[in-house]
Amino acid sequence: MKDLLRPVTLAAAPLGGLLSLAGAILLWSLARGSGGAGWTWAGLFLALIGLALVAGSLFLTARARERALAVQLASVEHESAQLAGHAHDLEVARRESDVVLNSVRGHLMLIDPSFFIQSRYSNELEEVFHQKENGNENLLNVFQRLLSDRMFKTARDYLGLLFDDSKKERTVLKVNPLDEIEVDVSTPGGPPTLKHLHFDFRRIVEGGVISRVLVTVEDVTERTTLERQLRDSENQKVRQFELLIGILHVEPRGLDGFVQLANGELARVDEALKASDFTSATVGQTALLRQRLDLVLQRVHNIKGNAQLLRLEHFEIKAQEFEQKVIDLKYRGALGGDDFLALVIALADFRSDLDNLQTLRVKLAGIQRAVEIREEVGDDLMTDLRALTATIAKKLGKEVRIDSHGFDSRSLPPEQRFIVKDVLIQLTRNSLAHGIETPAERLAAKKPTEASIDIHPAADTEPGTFAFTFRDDGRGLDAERIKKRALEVGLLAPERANDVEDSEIASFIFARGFSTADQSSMESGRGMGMNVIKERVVDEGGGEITVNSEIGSFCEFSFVLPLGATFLAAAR
Amino acid sequence: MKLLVVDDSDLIRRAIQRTLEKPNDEIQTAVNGVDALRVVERFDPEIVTMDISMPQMDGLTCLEGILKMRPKARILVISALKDKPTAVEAVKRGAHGFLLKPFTAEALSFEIEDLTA
Repeated sequence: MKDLLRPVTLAAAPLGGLLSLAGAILLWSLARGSGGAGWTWAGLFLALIGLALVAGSLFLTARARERALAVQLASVEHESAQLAGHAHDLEVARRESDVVLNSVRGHLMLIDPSFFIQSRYSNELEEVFHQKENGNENLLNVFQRLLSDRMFKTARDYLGLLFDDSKKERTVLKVNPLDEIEVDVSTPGGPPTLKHLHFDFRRIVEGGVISRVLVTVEDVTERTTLERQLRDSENQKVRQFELLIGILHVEPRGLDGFVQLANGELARVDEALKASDFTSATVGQTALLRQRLDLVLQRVHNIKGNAQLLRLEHFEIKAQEFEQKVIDLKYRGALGGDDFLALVIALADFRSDLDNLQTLRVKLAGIQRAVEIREEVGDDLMTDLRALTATIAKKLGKEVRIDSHGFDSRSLPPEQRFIVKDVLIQLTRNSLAHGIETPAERLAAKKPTEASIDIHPAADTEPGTFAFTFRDDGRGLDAERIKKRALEVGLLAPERANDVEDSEIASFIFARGFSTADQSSMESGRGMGMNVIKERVVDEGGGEITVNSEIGSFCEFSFVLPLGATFLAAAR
Repeated sequence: MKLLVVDDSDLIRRAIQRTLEKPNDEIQTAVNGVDALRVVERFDPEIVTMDISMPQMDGLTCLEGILKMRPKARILVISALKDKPTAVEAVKRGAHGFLLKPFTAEALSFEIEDLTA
C-alpha cells in the first residue's frame, strides 16, 4: 500500500515549488522594470527574498505534506495491519476449525430446525455415511437410508424432541436412541457392510431459542467388534469355569478314560458324516443317510452313557442335545447340505469342549497330586456305577442295590476295560428304565421293594478271556411285547409271527433302533443301548453274549470277552 | 410433597419409597397402570415415578392417562428397557425425566430434585 501512495506525494511537491518560483520571477521583473541602479539592487534583493520565500514555501509545503502523509501512512499502515491481523485471525480460526473438524474422533455437523445439514461438515462424514455431498441435505434422508423403519420413525421423533423447547435437554439426551446403532451402509451390488455409529447431540441456543443442533457422529465399529470379542472370551471363561467345577469330583483317570472314549466316538461320527452324501441327497439316498445317522446316534449315545456314569453333567446334556439334533434329522422328509452343516457345527462344538476338559484335567491332576496322596479304594468302575444307579433310581422313584462280589475290572487291559465299562453302563441304564419295577409294582408282585442288580465274574472261564454276568430281578424280557415291536419296525415278517423261536426274539433287542419304550428320555428310549452293547462286545471285541430271562422274575446277560494278544503276551 | 410410585415389583416400590420418603411427604403406590389411574383419581400427586413396562396397561398409555387427569404432575419414567424407541416415545408423550434401571438411591434423588427444580 505504501508503494501505491508514494508517486502521489512526489507529484504534488514540484507543483507547489513551481508556483513559488513563478511568484519570485514576477517580483524580480517588476523591480527591473521600475528603472535606475537603486531600483535594480532593490529589485535583486526582492527577487532574492522571493526566491527565499519560494524555497521556504517549498520547504514548508514539503514538511506539511510529509507530516500529513506520515499521519496518513501511519493510519493506513495501522488499518492495513489491523486488516492483516483480522485475516490472520480468520485464517487461524479456519485452520483451527479444520483441525477440529478433521481430527476429532467424531465428525461434526450442524442441523437447522428443519433438520437440514448445514454446509460445514468434516471430510470423513461422507465416508461415515458412505454417501457423497452431505452439505444441504436433510439428516432425515440420511437416516432413512441407514435405519430400519422403526428406528427411522424413532430418530425422526427424537430430532423433534431435540428442537422442542418444552423438553429438558438433559432428559432428551438421556433417551438418545442413536447412541449406538448398527447401520447398513452397503452400496447396491457391493458387499454387505454393517457399521456401528455413535450419534451425539447438543442444542445450540441463540436468542433464547434452539436455533441449531450440533451433531457428532463417530464410527465405533472397531470398538463394538472388540467389545463383542471381549464378551465372547468372557463367556468362554465362564464355560471353562463351569466345566472345571463339574469335573472336580471325578478321578483324573476316569476323566482320561472319558476323553479318550469320547474322542474315539467323535472320530467315528466324523467318518459317518460325509458332506457329499448330504449335498447330493436325493430321495433314494435319504434311506442311506438315515442309516448313517443311526450310526452317529449310537456313538453319541455311548458318550452320553459314559458322561452320566462320571456325572459329567455338562457332557451329558451336550450329548443329549446332539442326539436330539440327529433324531430331528432322522425324521425329516428331505435332507440337505444345511442339515449336514448343523451336525458338523455340533460336532466341532463338542470337540472343543472335550479339548477344554482335557486341558483342565491336566491342570487339575497337578493340583490333586499336590494336595493329597491317594489310596487304592477298590474298583472305581463299580463306585461310579453305584453312583449312576443311585442317581437314575432316584429320578425314576425306584429302589435298587448293586451286588458285585468278586467283580474287579482293574486287571483288564484298557481296551477291554472300556468295553466292559460301556456294557455295564448300558445294561444298568436299561435295567433301571425297563426291567426294574417301581416299589409299588414289586410289592404287588410279592417281591422285595428294593430291586437287585448282581454283577459277578463267571465261575469257569477259559484262559485268555474275561467272562462276567449281569443279572437284575426285574420283570424280565416280555417276549410278546418284543415280538409286537419287532413286527411294527419290520424286524419280523408278519407270516413268521407265530413260529418264531424265543432265542430269535431275544436277538431283536440288539437290533439297531429297537426300543419298547414309548417315549424317549435321558434314561431310555433311543433304542441304542443294547445295540451299542452288541457292537462293542461282538463286533469290536470279538466276544459272545448270552441272554437268559424269565418273565416277571429276572433277566440275565452273560459275556465272554477275549483279552487279545497284547494282554496275553504281557501276562506271559 | 405428594408422590405416587408405580411399579409391578414390590421390591422396587419399597426401595423407591424408602429413598424418597421425607417427613411431611405423602406417598402412594400402585402395582400397574390401571391401579395407578385409580389412585390418581382420588390422589393428586405432584411427582409420579413409573415403570414403563408393566402388566395390564403399558406404561405409555398410563403416562398419557395420568397427564390427562393431572396435567401438573411431573413424571419420572424408570425403566430397564433396552428398547430405545419406547423411551423416546415416553419423553414425546410428556415424561419429564428418565432413569435407567438399575439405579442408585443417589441417582433417583437427583432425578427427583431435577424434576422439581
